[in-house]
This record gives sequence, structure tokens and C-alpha cells, in this order.
Amino acid sequence: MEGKQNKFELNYHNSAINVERHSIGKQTIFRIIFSDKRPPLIITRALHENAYKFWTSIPEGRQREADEIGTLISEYFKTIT
Amino acid sequence: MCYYNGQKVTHDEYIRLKQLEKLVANYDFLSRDLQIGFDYNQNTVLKANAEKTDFDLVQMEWGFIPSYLRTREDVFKMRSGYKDASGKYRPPIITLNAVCEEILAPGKIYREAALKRRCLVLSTGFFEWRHIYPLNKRTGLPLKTANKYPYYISLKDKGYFFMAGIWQPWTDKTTGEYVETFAIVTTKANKLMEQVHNSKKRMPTILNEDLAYEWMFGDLDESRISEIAATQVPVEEMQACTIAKDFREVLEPAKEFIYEDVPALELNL
Repeated sequence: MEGKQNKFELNYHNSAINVERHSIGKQTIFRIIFSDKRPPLIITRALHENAYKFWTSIPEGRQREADEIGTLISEYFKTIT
Repeated sequence: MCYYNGQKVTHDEYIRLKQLEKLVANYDFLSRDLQIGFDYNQNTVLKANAEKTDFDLVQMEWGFIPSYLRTREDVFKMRSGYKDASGKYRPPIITLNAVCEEILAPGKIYREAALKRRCLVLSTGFFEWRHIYPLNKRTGLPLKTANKYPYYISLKDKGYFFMAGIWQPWTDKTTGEYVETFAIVTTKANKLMEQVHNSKKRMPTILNEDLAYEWMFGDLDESRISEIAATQVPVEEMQACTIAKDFREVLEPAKEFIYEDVPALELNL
């Protein structure tokens, strides 16, 4: 199934980023393509030990971007559902 | 306790994220269609190496392609249904699941794979639909058309688990495209799944670690293959909750969604 929810554009720090949703092994990940020369970022939702969900980069190392862009993605889904 | 990206996570969650790293590293984003569907997409499968001494985590196409099909067009026709040369309609053949009672039957497309190419499908949970027939307000009798409610089923305290699978290599005879495809083995529903998947009363064959190892690496006779394929995970190890009907469109498909008109499952079985 394809739909607009699987590929969309967001504004991140006044720049456009392209977001793609993929399903790998029944797990959802998001691939972020930046308009500058930064390498693409893969993020997913993970479960904190204290039972709340947080956004994280795959692999580790880009937590700040994962957190900020993940929040934008969550807001995007709230507006369309 | 472990840390991932500076966040405290359970051991299970840490393993899941580390496995996801491997999958992402091997995932070819550019050549894949974007999809969140559950049919014929790529899934993570554990496949034994040639010596059966270790396994690889690989991506395979869900939907077993029989070796007698020659081209992608043939595959499409099999999966979608088509009219043959005489104009007769041939209905779709769905090969997502392989019924455990039939996988070894002579002449069945799954037999060779069940004997020689058994694998494990990594899962965090799965979706099934429960059919509930509302009562006619006048007669009190059930209506003929059911309301369908989706459920998310997972195992308690398990971040992921193994489903029994069988796989098949396949090459398109015209383009040379090579893919590995698989089917998930299904068994008779246990008492919980009888209530959830109440239209077909089937469920995936979920294996504990010992059985999973035996299924993939064991030198098994037909009787043992059938026995493991028919394994029912105990009810007390499972959990199920209703989810939103548009679960395929939302950020968290497995998030619980309560329906006022859906009776609770009987869990004291």
C-alpha cells in the first residue's frame, strides 16, 4: 500500500526535509533526506526503560536530530489522522 | 540495563535496535517501493548458512513463489487471479501462509521447502481481524454481515519472537531477477486466537528458542517437521488488544484502541 503518509515533506529549521516511511521486518523506520549535504538520517521509535516511547537514530550518534525531527513527524501524523 | 543513544532501554529493546541497525545497513532504499502493506513486502528472515552452523539475517519477499512460475507476470497473475486462454477465470492463489497440516503433502508446492529450506521469521507482533455479528434489533438473531475489528497480538515480555517459515529461491526466467521468498507456517488457533481470528481459527506457528533452533538447523524426519509445524504457543504467553481500524495509516499501528461494542476476550482459559 502506498499513500501520502509514506512520503511527505516537512520544514526543519527553515529547510525542507523529505521523509520516507519504510517497513523493515514489520518495524517502521523513517528515512530523512536533507536539502543540504548532510547524509540521510534513519530514525525509529524505541521504548525507554521507563515505558515511554522516544525517537532514536539508527545507528546511534544522531540523537538530537532524531528527537527534533521525530517530534515533527509525530505532529504531522496528528494533523492528518 | 543498556543504553541506546544515551537513553536507558531494556536488554530486549537494545537487541531489537541493534538488529534493526543490521537490517537498515543492508536495506536498499533506492530500489524499494515505499510500502507499509503486509502483503508481498520484504521481511526479516533468519536463514541457515549452507553448513547449517550459523544463520544470516536476510530480507525475503513474503509470498512463496512456486518454482514452476517463469516470470513476474506469472506471479502477478497467480496472486491476483486471471482469465486463462479459454476465458475461464482462475482465482488468486495466496501463498503468504502455509498450512501446517499440508506442507508435506505429496505434490504440494511447499513440500520441498519444508524438507530442505526451513527458516524463521522475526516478528514483534501480528495483526488479525475479529468478526462480530451484530444482533438484529427486531429478531434478536445475528446479522449476516460481520463487523470486523483489528487486533494486535504479541508475546508477553518478548520484544520479538520467531515464527516458523519455509523459503524458496526463485529466478525470473526472462529478466534474471533473483529473489528469495517465504511463507509463514500456520497452525490451528489456540483458545485465545480462536476468539480473535474467529473466521478461520488459525494462527502463525510461533516457536520458542529451542524449537526455533531445531526447526532451522535440525536434521528432521517428516514426522518431526509436522510436529513442530503444528506447535501452538501457550495462551498464557500471548496478549492481544484491539487497535484502530486504520492502523496501517497511523504512526503506531499497534497502539491499543478501545471499541465500546467489542466484548472482551475470555482470558481465563
